[in-house]
Amino acid sequence: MVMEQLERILHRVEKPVRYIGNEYNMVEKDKDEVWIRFAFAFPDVYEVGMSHLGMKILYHKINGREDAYCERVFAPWTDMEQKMREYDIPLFALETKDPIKQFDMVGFTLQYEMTYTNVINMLDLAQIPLTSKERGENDPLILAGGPCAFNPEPLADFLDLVVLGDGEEVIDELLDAYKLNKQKKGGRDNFLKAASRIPGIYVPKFYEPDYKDDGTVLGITPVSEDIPRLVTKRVVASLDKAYYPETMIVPYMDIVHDRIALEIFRGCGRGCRFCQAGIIYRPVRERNAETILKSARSLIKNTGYEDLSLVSLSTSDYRGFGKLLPELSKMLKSSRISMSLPSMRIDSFADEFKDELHALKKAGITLAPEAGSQRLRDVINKGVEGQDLLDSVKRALEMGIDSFKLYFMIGLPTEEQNDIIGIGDMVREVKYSRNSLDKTIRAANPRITVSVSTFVPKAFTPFQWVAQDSVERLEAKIALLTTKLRLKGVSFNWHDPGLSFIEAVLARGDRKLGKLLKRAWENGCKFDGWSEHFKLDVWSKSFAEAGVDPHFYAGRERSDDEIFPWEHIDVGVSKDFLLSEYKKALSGITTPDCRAYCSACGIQDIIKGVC
Amino acid sequence: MRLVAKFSKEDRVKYISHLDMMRTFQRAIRRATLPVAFTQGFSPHPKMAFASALPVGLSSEGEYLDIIMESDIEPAEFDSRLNSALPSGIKIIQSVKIDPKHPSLMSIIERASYRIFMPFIMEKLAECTEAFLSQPYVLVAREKSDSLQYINIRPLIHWVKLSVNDCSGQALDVMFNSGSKSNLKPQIFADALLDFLKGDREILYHRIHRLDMYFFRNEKLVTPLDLVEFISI
Repeated sequence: MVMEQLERILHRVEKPVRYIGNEYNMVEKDKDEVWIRFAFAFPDVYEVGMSHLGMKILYHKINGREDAYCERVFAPWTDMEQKMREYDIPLFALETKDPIKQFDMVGFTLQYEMTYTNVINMLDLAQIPLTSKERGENDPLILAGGPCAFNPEPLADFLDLVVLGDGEEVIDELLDAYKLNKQKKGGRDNFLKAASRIPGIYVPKFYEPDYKDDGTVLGITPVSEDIPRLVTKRVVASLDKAYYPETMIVPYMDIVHDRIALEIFRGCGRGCRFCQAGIIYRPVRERNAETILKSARSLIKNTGYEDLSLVSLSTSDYRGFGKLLPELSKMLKSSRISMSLPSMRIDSFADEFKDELHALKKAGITLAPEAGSQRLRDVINKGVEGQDLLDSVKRALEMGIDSFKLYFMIGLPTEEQNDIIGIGDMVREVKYSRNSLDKTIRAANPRITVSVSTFVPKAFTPFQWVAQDSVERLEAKIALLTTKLRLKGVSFNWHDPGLSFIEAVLARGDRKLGKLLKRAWENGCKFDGWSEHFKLDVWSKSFAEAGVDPHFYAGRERSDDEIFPWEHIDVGVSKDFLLSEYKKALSGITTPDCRAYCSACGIQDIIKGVC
Repeated sequence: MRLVAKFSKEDRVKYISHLDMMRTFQRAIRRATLPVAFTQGFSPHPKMAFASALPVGLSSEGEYLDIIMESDIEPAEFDSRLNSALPSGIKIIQSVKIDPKHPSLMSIIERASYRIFMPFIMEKLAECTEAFLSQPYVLVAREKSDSLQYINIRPLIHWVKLSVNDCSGQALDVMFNSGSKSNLKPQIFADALLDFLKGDREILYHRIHRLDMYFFRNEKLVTPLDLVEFISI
């Protein structure tokens, strides 16, 4: 039915392939034969959402159940949205083209704060009442998960239920409970009650925040005795035993990460103090080389992809490379598949990779020193020495690699002018490191791309207490860098500090921001992560209209004993540990990788024996 | 060994672009583990090409793939293996072995036939079309970098008739010049016809389906599948 209407608009929108589904390996089921219709919603455009590994895992896991059908839905691009509104086509799932308002559950993955307005916009396009309060028995349940779900408070009004931690660990329990309740005709509230008793499930409406006069949180308390005070995230104990799909949907269009994604481990032991993923995905869990090879074999056979990448937070830290790489490269060679390695860490970029990774020559190397001085790298616990970086660059040049991407952050805690100048010095050293090499072996003049992002303090990190640098100061730092990086062969790009400012507001926001988000959406904000759509002035107007002071959230240093809006959520890493890390940061004391030495972060209390 | 495979592109798949189509075939060939020949060089890719790019939004039952195999394979086996690895909506109809030295399909195609559905046009489609075609010139505007250029598409149209295979009475079968030397896109024809009939392009959307592609051999129109006869007897 929707398809007929779609015929009228698809030839008038850009990239209609985003909206047709029907890709190879898309799951087809009889929708009348299932108890649960689940829409996996990614609040960004198709080519971004389809690149997300979590969706691939949960999509095939849910569809492995006979009683459930999981379909996909993405944010339509603005041209398509306009046509859908014009022709009154409600937001539909790609598989059946049925409106998602007919589904049992719509689960959003929150990868990035700047997609929050898209969540609201998608609900509106779906003709689903926006808030949990307004929704009734005939509306779908709105779920959220993913990294930003660890502080779900800004979106709490819009969500019925939040999944904390590894989705594949809890989804079956959740769907079983839903089916049981549906069979018994238990109703919506009955299910939410039952769900709130499943570990890792947070039902926002069963919690009531109270605030002090100064606007900070006094406490977040359950509305009744049978609701747990603290919701602890769920953790897959063994990735070797956990579900991993043997097949993946192969899109027609060129998506952002258009290749086989092979997860090699989850979590990261490095403890970079700015990094939220490094805390919320603890502990480190590696997959065995055998398990990875088995996945690789079936994915190569079932997808026909010509490219494969190993996925993790810090790929070169994987300890099983000695076993994995020889076998894997044999497999890849025989099937004519190339491999790309993201997030190479400079300090473990070793000679043993040389023969395996010809692709690097073409793609170049990405290095992330993050800060321009050793002092500041110690503050953020980026365990990397400047000399190591230069050694890596030299080794790369000797291998004939001449293209480098360097990632830095500005606005880090304790940052001074010298640290900014240090970025310029470091880039210069990389540029001239070629000169010290033997003329017969060295590569051409290196091409260097410097990308500078703005530090955004995030919940559940050692820097959750700090004030973000003001937009004005950040702009001055960028101006300084622009003069320092005016070098031949060096290109410099940076993130919009205004965008990072809004991101900082939402990252540590409380429930009061629900009103603001709705206002911003009403004023036209969407696709805020896309610079062509981000409108700082509209956000500023929305703050004023909602009576919210953004600086209270972004630019305020918190006292050590402040109660955070996410205090009722337990990621396993203790607040005491995070605070001690913060204090150590201010004194420039580093903390070793947790696989070398356990600093008792607290994760062992929720998952014993894994690390 | 060289094969020419005729295939169809139907349903939703018509919204995928030429480049997407290329990728889709490359991956299907990998899944089917067909012994296709690869190019040399740093990033080898299968030696294959389409006879003609089909614009996004058009369906077809007459597309052609020109492909070099590393080792011999029976065309029927090629068809069934590839069909089992292709997404629904794309289907190999038939493939034939051709002379490996034959010029590329892309360079020989001269004509293409289409079926154009115009579901909202009045009953008198046949009459109107006749009037349209009796014009000595059919000028359409083409945007150049900074100016408008008018071209006469009338000589590129060989015939237009009410489709006998479509009972709705609202479809036209047409034959146009097509290929690298002279090409008329069916959308341009359909838009020109709609303009002539004073129809609104926005409301009277049309659906276009390619029927087949042709070239001349011994002054007769043949399709790429007819190249099979050229194999040494």
